[in-house]
Amino acid sequence: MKMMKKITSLLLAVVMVFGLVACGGEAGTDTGTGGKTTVQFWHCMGSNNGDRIQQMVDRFNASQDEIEVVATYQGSYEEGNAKLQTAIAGGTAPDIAQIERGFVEPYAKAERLEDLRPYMEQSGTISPDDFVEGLMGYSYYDGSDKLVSIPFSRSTPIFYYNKDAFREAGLDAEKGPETWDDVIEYAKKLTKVENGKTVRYGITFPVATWYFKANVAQLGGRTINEDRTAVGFYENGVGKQVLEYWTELRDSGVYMVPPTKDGPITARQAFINGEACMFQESTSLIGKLSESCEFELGAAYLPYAPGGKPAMPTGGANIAMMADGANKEAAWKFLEWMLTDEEGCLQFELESGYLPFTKQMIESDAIQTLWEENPMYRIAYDQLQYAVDTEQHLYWAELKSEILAAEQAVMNDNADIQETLDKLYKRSQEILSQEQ
Amino acid sequence: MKKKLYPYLLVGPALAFMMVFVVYPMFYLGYISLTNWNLINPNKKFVALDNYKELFGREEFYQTLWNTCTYTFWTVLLIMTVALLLAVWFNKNTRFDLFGQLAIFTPHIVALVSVAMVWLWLMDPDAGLLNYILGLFGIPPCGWLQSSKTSMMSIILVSVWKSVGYYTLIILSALQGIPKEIYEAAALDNTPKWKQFFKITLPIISPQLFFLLIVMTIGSFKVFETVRVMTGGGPNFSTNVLVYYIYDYAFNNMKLGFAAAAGMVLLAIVGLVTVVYFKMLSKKVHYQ
Repeated sequence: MKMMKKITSLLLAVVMVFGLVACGGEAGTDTGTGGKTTVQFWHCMGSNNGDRIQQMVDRFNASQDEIEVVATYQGSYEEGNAKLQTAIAGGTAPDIAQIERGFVEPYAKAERLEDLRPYMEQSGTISPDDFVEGLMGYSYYDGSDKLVSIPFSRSTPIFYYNKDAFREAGLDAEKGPETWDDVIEYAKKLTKVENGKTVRYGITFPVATWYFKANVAQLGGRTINEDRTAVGFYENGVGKQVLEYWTELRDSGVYMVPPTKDGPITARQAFINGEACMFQESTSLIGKLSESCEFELGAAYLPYAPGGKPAMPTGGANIAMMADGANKEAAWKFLEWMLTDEEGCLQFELESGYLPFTKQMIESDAIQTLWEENPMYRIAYDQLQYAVDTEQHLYWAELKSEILAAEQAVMNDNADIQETLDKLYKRSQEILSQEQ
Repeated sequence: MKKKLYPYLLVGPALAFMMVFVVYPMFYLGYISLTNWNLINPNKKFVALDNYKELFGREEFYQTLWNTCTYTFWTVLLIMTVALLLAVWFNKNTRFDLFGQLAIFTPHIVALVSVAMVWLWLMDPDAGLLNYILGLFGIPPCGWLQSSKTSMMSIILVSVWKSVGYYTLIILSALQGIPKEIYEAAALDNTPKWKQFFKITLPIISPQLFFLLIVMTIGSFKVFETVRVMTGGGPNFSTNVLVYYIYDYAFNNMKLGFAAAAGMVLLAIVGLVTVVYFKMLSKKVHYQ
């Protein structure tokens, strides 16, 4: 018996030692194979777009023999953000990371992002003025002193519609609805009810903060007010107007409200299957929808409020060079290549459908040809002149979940709009008054 | 001297393991909860009890606590009852029983993400199977996960369905360990079946049930995956539970100090529950 105990404890000890060794084995990858400098690049793109990033990295690695870029998929934007934080705390930060735009601010504040201005000045191949203005809402920190991140996988919401269904309902298929009133009118005409059950909805879009922000901006409101003390859609009554528009759509039975979780996927599928005829979603879906929809696909600017103006927020993620990275010079070489080489970001944006973001990319033959072949991409880009981003704040993520909860309270639980917004306003003051 | 040291030497590795991975993190958590750290900030600023003040001043924190307790109460109660009934039912080793055991255990081995996918579809208010079945009986459709009123109930339903088979098997193995002679003696005395159950079966398997009760309660307090996959805490925070709240604050809202304070509260609750259970129930638990 005693012997048995001895053996077990010995075995346990051995297992533990091996466990510890295995844990420590990952660090220390500064120099890769054959004396090349290794650059760690963390991204958040799965499936097809993940493959496209890998192909881009492969092209770079093949183009020279000094630097080896290792691209690693870290899960969704949120999961990637969680891993990046723990990596920084653990001292194993990558050299380059893709960061969802709303998370950039806290990293910049903690001085974890490298200022790219000096690198650009030194290399002279690209300057901060070369970037498309509408996509730079999350790139500068400290006014315009520091350029801490650059656009990468960026998009805006756009309005998709089913041209075949439009014709069937006697609507003008060459033009999407222009205002909210049009949307309600069109949606009513497009909705089909059989035996008391709705078999086709006029419109669908996820209950998300993105579309809410868009509608708020169209009425001249802001997500966070100019003084940065509370939400900027309460006192001016803009938020109420937006939610009234949404509830009117829902209560007329023309809006398919997607589920809380995986809403975007459900909504997209409903649109592709022809169960909903109009659909607000990211411009990055143009390629996928063009392929999957069996009907003729139309795209238009996001409809705006009667008496309002066209406006929308931007979305997606930026890339940044981490201040903790071990090989900044090499990391910049890779960034520079991505920004300036035709086989870099330009090709990635072409394949993925995300927006081109430098003037050089816009002027390139490849983009011009694409726009001629599929004018929807042009609409997506032209829309950028109306881009407004008004939520850069250290505590944006916290405020975002409160805004989403308020939307759900109104849309899912039919809560009183005014009461919900009263509560949200108070909460936003608390969140934004936290020490920065 | 050597004799005295020897036992410590033997438990040493395990103890070291516990110190590094359990005790140290626990104290470190307590320390972080007193700072405003956010993982990426190079400095940890000491803020004393500010995080706790903020936490206990938050309406949604109490809602989260309430949600967690509701979830725990119902899952533990339902799993315990259903698993016990199923175990007694399947305790005969006929072909049907073996099939039943297998069937009831299957959900446990399927990955939660796939389970959630299927249930998301089943519970779809428009196209889901559940509402279709309700409709056949003339019952008005239910909002399931889409409404704050029913979302928690739906989560509980999925959790119970997923893990009831696992607990059934544990109880079943306990039941099969009961000597047959006791039942034979009871049968000779003409003891009714229900009395056999309450006077023989339950007392004998009570240690196992007690263990399950503790494990289940603590496990339910730590529910995370189901919520993350099925609702993300929504709609309107109605399924937000403590661990999801902690995760959300630590990694999405990037307020680790605040999340650590909530973590300390979880630690205190789980600790308290365990102590209370031991004090109250250990007296009534029968050990052979």
